[in-house]
Amino acid sequence: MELIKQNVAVFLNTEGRKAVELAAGISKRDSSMVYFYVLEANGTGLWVSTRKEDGEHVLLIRWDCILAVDVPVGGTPILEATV
Amino acid sequence: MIKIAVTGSRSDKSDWEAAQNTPREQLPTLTREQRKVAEQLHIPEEDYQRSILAGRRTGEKLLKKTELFAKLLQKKVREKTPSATIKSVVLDTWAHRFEIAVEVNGTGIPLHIPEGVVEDLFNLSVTDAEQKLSQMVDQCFHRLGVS
Repeated sequence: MELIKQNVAVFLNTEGRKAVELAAGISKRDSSMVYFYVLEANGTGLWVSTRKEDGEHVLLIRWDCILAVDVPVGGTPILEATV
Repeated sequence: MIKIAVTGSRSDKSDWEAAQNTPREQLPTLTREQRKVAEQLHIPEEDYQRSILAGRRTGEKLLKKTELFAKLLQKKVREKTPSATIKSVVLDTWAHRFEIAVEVNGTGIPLHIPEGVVEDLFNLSVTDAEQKLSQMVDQCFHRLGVS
């Protein structure tokens, strides 16, 4: 499964929640499930894009902080045409 | 007539950025089901709208790419086997490959090709991409006994 270039909902454990609260400025209330654009995925974790007051930041979320990943594929309809 | 399609989901970085900068009033309206899912996943509706917009933009580009590839492939296949017709070309973004249905003398032949090979056709620095595609068609048809 290729997660690069996907928008994903990431379910975090307690450690992960604390990390995104600090690093991404996401509030405690919303930090158990966070929605990110994935720039890169490797053995360490997911490199995701976040936005702060001064623009884009790139954040690494380690796999050991991630409990599950939801990719909302159904939101994108099949595009088709005849040529 | 060739049926073309793009399945799956993907957002190029440039489309994702463009979607982030799109005025809120121009974002796509979520369906009731999408709003429900956004709520379940604790995704702000606006974020979900922007990701859908980015996916649509990239999807449209991929559909155009699929169309250009389908027409070129039709040409190559016809050069090799005039009786062959491309019926459909579908880009599966999850599998990173194009699924191709070819019909030769009433017989359907399912083929596929990695997306990277097709990507080379759109890469200005790759000068022999079309020649390689012709060779692949030749070798594949020879292997399958298509003439």
